[in-house]
Amino acid sequence: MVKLNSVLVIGAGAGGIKASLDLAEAGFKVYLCDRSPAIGGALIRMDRWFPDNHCGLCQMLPAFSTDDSSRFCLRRGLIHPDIELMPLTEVKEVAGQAGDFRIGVTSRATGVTPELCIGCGLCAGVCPVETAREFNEGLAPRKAIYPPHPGVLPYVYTIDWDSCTKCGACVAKCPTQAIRLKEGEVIRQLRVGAVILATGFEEFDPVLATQYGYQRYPNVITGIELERILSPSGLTGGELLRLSDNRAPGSIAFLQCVGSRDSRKDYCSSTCCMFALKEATLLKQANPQVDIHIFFMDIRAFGKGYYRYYEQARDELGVKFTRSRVPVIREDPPTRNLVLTTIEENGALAKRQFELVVLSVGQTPAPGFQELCQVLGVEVNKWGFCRSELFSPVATTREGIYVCGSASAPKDIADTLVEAGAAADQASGWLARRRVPPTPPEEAMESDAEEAPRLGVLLCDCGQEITSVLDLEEIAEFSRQLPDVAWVARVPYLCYTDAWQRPAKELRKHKVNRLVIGACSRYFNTRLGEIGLNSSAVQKVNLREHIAWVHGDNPKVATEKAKSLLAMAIELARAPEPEPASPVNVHPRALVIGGGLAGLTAALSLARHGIEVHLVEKSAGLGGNLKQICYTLEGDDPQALRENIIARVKTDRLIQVALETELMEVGGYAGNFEVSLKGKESLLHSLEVGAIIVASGGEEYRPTEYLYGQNKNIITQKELEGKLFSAKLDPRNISSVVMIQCVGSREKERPYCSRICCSQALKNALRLKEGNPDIEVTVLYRDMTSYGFQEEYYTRAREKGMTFVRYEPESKPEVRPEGERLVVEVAEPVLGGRLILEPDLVILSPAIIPPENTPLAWTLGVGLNEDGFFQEAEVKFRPVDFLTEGIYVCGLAHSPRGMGESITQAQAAAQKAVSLLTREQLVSGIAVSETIQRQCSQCELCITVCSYTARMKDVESGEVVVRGALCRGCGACVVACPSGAAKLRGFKDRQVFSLIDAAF
Amino acid sequence: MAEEDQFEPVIVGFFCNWCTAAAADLAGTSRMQYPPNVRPIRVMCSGSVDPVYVLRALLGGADGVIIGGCPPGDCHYVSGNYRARRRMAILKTILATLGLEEERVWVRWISAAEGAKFSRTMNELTQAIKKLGPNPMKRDWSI
Ligand code: FES
Repeated sequence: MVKLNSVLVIGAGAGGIKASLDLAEAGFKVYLCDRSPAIGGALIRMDRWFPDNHCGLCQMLPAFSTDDSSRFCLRRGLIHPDIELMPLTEVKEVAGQAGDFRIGVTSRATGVTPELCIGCGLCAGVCPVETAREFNEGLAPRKAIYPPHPGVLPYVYTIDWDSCTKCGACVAKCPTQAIRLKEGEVIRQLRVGAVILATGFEEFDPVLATQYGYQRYPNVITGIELERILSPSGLTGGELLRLSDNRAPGSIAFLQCVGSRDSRKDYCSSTCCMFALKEATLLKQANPQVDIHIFFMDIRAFGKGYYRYYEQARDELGVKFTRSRVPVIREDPPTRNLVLTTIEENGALAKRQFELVVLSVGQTPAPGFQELCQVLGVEVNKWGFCRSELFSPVATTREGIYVCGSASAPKDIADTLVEAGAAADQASGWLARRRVPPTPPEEAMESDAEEAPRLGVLLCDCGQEITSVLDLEEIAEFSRQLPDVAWVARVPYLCYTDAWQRPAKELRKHKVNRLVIGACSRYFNTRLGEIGLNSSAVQKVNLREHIAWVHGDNPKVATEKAKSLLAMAIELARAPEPEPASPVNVHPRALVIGGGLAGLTAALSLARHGIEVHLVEKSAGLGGNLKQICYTLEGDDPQALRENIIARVKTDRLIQVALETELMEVGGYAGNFEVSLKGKESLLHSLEVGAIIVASGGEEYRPTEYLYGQNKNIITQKELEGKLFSAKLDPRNISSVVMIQCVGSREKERPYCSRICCSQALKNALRLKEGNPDIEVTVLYRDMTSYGFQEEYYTRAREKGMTFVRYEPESKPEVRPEGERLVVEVAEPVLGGRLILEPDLVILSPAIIPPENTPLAWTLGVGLNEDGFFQEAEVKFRPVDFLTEGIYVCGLAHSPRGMGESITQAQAAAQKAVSLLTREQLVSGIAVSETIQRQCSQCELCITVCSYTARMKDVESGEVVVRGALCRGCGACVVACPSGAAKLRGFKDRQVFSLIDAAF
Repeated sequence: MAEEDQFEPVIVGFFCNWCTAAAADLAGTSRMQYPPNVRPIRVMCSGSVDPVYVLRALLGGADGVIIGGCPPGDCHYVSGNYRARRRMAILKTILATLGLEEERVWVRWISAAEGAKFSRTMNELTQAIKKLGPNPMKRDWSI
């Protein structure tokens, strides 16, 4: 069978973009299709993310060979030579099998030819149709012809056929004849080796929850609408105003679980707690006076750093939390305020008034998802999400088709992006690698550093978009006078397909070796080949977006500004071109630290891609914590999994396992690590590896509370599980148990949720009930965190008559022996009384804690977070990477997580490593830093400021050197260097000075 | 006032590629009008702006300088904007000794989604510099 090297990714939201970038970085060809006209999905409708309130989209762009993709904010778009974007496209037919699918897709015509549209917007000016605008959640109207969103690149319009009346006004107005009012479809056949399903979710439609009056009451909005209102690019420019009267609300209520956790949708949407917390945090930070109240059932802040975020909102920012259900909302007509009827925990009814109500709507499958799954031939689960199994979370029921993100279960961006990496890993197993040996940065055809600069200046009229404000003739004349300018020309539309033919000839004729383009924000890099120049020989001035479109009322000064900007660009272009930095070799070998589930999974993934793996494990056996997990909530068999993967690891000839072995020392950098390992018996030996995966695991906290260890009837969940499994304990001999949750978690010294203990408790409780339906099970909890589809088991547990009693952290349950019996006493916050229980067994759910990670972190030169887990490069967008390239993290070493989540993360980490290790060489970008050795005083300041460990002291020569492949060209070292020895190639002080001088 | 109106200051802007330069483009596509006095220079990161560049601009006669970068925590290169902030704070203390008002140097965090903030900032900056009047260096020295 021939293997193909291309893959189809369906859905261009967070997961789809990440999977595509990962695959493209690994050297595959990606078709990325989406039903909408632009990429971004839910991602670009949000500005900041929990749990750090930052934006970090750009962190997803490739870390190696950075020049391969566009280097701008992903909100604007994505340009990558190996990713073909297919907007307005749907999958209609799938034939073939894994490794060789033939896929029929249809793309709807946008009505606007992108090569002709210059984005002038005259069409929208005459369009008579006003309709709701989805980017701003229908809050602001837009025309039937519109740019998908205001920052999109290329800035091209599209037609919304559903609202277009085909009146033809736009056609007549369009200066470039770009519009054709003909609906139509283009059918294409793609041949791909694998498919990734990343269609995301649809928000639950709150109109269906009639009791809340959404759409009847203007001041009842959804979370995502609030997000758009708060966005600086949104309706009110970031100010929160009520839709009814444009007034800033003084009190805001958030209602959780709208469309989740009810009888119709018995699952938890996993993200809405955090989403509401984020909104509340941002609102409070903007205005501490505003009264914010969150009505909820359980706060599920189970991700890394999430619980701290919750505490900060509650304790520092003063967001109020009330556990209650809200059966109905009524509007107070004169004020248009909203009256919430709440049922408090103790059953009492209360009425409260708020000026704004935000519904935290849940996630449901995207519309048309069932049909798509049918076309793809993959099964859906009973909630309509794509079916996947716990131990193969990104696999669908059809070989070669993978799933990531909310398509398979509701989840947040952090988890989605991990799955995207895993899906990329699994999909690439079906693809043929076509990684060609990297070529050094292309040589400019006509130019080299020695040659005297001969500049060309190419000015675009952009129809009248630029010329209506700027006097381009005057500007052209001015440019001609500038030093080294050999040729100046004007083109009507530089973005047109054939626009470059004539200039290309002229450029050759005039022996032009540097070019200055004065045009718009379009990305012309992909077209530079046509004129035989590379991107470092070209400078761009954005005459349209930076001048003509924003200074329309001041043409004279605007023209002066244009001249200055051109003079500045010309100064930059005159500078000598940098010599490319020499590439470095890569050792195609990986070290995996840790032989638990994550480490074993990562090793297998690496080996599947032909990478030689050295797996070291501290203890005497493989399997880690998996050894003690006997069954799962969902009914899988962890021991079978353990045996299977250990057997596969042991028999894989590419994997070498070293038990009782530790990492002693690490030198070198991505692609070129030298590691020293020490076995129990053996001597220190060293190894050259290209990448390191940290899967060193976590452990269970050994409780010091609740008399653990002092009474044989007080045991942990794990101990109970072992006893039940080995039949040492017969449920029929027990009449009652009490389970205590959050033992050691969510405490002052450990302010995080351990994520898996609630499902562990449910699993054991159900098991007990199965063995003896009469057992009384009481679970003492703080927030039941049965997120995603685990919710169903929580419901089942209640149906089976288990009692769930909440306790407050201030008044913890008390466990004491009374004679032979155990007594548990707890303050019951609902009824206010004290509950006294006399169980046979007390079962504790202890925290997951990191082992002492400091020595390993030191050896690797990576960081730990406040809780002692390894600190990834960016919590959402680079979840398995460290800031030090070439080292990746997965499993409990990263944070507490379930088995399925460890598996995905291990695959995602392996994917990153594979994409590095399958390169023969690492090539650096054009703008990398270098050291002028004779000026260097070796103060090493530059080493300190570099975020990417691209600078180091060479042991032999004692010189400060740059590892070009790791340098991202940010220039931090250049500024830090007190002796002017650190430089960016092609960007010397002298140039900057002449550039600045040219400004006036 | 009349003089103020005629005075068209020249302001040099150093805008980071990932956020503020993108905001400038967004202001453009959204056609938000602002005065043409700022000469934008795209830098990869606000942390790559050497105080010497700012001095060069001011000594050369620029009436104001603005450094635009990603909001705190959002720098594409992790912490470049924090370093920029510290450097510019120090630089401002030096400006006084040169007889320059520290208000001539602005540091602002403008994210890629904040086209409106970009144009608003350019407006405010131009107004403020117009109020301050021409760079005294231009008057006192001849360079
Ligand atoms: S990249 Fe924007 S400030 Fe560093």
